[in-house]
Amino acid sequence: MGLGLFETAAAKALASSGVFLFMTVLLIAAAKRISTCIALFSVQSLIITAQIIAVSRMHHSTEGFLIAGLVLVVKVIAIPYVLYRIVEELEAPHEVSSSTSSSQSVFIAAGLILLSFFAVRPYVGVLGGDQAMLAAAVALVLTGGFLMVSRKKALMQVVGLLVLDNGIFLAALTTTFGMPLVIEIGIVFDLLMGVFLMGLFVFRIRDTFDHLDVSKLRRLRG
Amino acid sequence: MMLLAFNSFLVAMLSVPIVTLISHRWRKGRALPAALLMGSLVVGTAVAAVGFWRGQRFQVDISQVASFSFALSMDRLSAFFLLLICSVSLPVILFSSSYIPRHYSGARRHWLWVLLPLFLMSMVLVVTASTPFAFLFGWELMTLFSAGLIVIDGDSEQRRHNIFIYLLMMHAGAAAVIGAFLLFLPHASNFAQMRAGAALMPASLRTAVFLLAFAGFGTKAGIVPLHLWLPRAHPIAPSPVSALMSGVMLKTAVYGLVRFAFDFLGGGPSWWGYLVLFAGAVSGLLGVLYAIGEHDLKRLLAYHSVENIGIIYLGMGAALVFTANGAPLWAALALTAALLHCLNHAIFKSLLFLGAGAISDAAHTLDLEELGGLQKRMPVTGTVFLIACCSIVGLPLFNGFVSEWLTFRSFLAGSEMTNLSAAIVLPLAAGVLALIGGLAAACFAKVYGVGFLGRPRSGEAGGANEVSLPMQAGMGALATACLVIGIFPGLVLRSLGALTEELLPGAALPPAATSLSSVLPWTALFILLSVGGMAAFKRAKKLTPTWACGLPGLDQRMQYTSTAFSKPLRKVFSRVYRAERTLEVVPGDPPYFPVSISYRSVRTTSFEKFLYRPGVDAIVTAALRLRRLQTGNIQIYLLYIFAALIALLMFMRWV
Repeated sequence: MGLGLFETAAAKALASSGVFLFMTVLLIAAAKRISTCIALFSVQSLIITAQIIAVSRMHHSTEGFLIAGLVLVVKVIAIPYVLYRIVEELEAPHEVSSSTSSSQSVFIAAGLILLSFFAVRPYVGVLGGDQAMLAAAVALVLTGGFLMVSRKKALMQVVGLLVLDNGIFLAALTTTFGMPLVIEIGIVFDLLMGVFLMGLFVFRIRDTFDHLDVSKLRRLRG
Repeated sequence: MMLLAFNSFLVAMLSVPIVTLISHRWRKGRALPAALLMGSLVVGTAVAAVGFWRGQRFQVDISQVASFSFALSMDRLSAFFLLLICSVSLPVILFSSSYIPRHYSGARRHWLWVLLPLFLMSMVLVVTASTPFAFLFGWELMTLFSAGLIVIDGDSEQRRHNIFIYLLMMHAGAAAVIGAFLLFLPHASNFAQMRAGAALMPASLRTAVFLLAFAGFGTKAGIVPLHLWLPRAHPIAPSPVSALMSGVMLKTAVYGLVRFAFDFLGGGPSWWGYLVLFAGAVSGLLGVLYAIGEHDLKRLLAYHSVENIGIIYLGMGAALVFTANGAPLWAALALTAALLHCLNHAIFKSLLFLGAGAISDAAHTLDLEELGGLQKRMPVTGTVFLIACCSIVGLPLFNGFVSEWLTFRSFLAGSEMTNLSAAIVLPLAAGVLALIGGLAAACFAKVYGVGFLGRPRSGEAGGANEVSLPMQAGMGALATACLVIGIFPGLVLRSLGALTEELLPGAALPPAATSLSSVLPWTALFILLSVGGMAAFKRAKKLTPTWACGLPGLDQRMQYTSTAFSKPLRKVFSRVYRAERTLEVVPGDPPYFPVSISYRSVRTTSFEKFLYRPGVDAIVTAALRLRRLQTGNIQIYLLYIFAALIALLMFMRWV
């Protein structure tokens, strides 16, 4: 076993990538600026990309590399870039304006991580895969949902959805080693279109109501 | 031959709306829809008459072609109700052919001619259906088309509220009817199967079917306390439509109950009968009492529909009690009486509503307090209205008498029952029926006396003129039918006897029924001769002005008003009315001369207040509480999803 120093380090890092994901989750929960959240999402997607590359090398699949490239281009670069541009052009305050304080959010996110460990435990043996990875997937889904619920800015709802989607992606990757290529491509483009549409709506909301606070959009209730 | 005629009847009826839409631009085609509709109704009447008198059966089954089981068939019961629908709506349409162009123009007139045949068609479907699907199809359309016809007459907040209540109660009733059909599963693909399946049902299921049918059809029939929609919906429809709704549509509910209780279930325990009897007694009494308190003619007539449905239910209840006690002979008599009263009520109630239409056409009001003296100004309308009044209160030689007398006869026969409760309850019900009849007589004395006699109470009533010839002809035909059935009841009774024999095994009409039909013609002849004789030997009349107690002249304000006429009765039954009176006096500067005095007396029926209001309030309160879930905040909705997700995760972990 002649592994070089670099390869050993990479293997260690990959094995503990679940922990890195948990860290991004906690950081996103703590973040106070929208741009920080977007950067953290980008980092999160990068970790997942690394995961995909590792899994595809293990299974010697070329499709996997294609997917990894796609995710890298769309989730690590394109979507964060688009979101940054939106934040810049909106000229709106950059705070996430959360309904829970920063420290409360971290505690809640930690609770959600615990809950996800608790929830996945019976399935680890059945589905195979690493317990930490599976728990990270569930934690991403839950945190995404939590972000959408607690953050008032319309842009943060987009970020929450993206985090949630990362969670689903990761769950598919760890349990069944990814979905077929066509479906992956479909999902990624769906997400891209979703982000574009939401960006459009964010501008419309700003132009119509002069703010981005979704908690004030309640005039249409029956 | 019958099948061909029936099919052409259906096709002709369905073509009327199309013809209306095509011909409305063409000036000469104005009368075409009415003519076509009347033509098809003549064919329908003929088919039904042959089916009813000869007992011929046939079936139209399109289940093979269509993907659903849809079949029409005709037995004697269907034929009787088809005869009722076609023969009564024929004069009503004749009346409408002149009434509708006078009152409605442009699109509203076309819509009337489109919806009227469809409404009639839906009722035909109901009574000829032989599969649950066909029945319910017609049943729902009947509600919708009649609501559509009400909508045509105008639009206001109050009307919308009334139509809403109508639709709401009809849908609730339809839900019960659908439930009754569903209980027959898996034997529910057609009526013959249901008949066979009912015999195999356990007693509790049969009771459930009966109760659902009782509630569902009771809502349509308007028995108290399910009558709430009736005095709201009937008066606001165009008069010919009110005639059809009150005269004909209510009878489809009676048809439904007869079909279920007698045909499918074949009778049941005697408490079913007592339930129907009780509902009939309450509806009859309260219906007539509320009618006395009204002075809007159409509302008054609508309440009388509740009363007459009560009388029909009394007959049906007696028939169920007799069947349960093993007296098929008397059961046949009671059921015959109920069915005959259906036909009679259809005739005279349509006539009364057409009369109301004629009055509103001539005097532009239906408020009894503003009418008066119409007999002199509208002699034909007045006479036919009088005939209808005599019929509805059940005077001899008019059709109402025959059916009410037969009902009485069957009740009195109840005293011969060995079962003690039947021997007590049935004669008591005869007392109730007598009270209903007496009160109805008082009520129509008021209607005719205030509306047609005396002097006009308003300028509009004073300027009334006789209505057009087709309207007179339509009313005249119905009045003739009242007299013909009243004098020669044997024409209908014999076939009705055959019908009840089919429904109740081992029954035959007792001689009490036939004896009546041999007495009545001779009585009529005797009265005709004596009246003729008196007219021949009449002394010369001397005309003098009416004595006005020494005052210079008569004033219309000296007349009895409608309110005053009914006051003694309302006083006696004051516990029923529970009027809310408010007297507001605004005192003036010297307090002895008030600036204004206003008096209001509002009568909300106690059912509304004590039965429906609490239920409605509870639902509204619950809905308002639930509304807090709907904050309109997108994050709260996301929170719901999020919470559900977490709850599911926890749940999966534990299970």
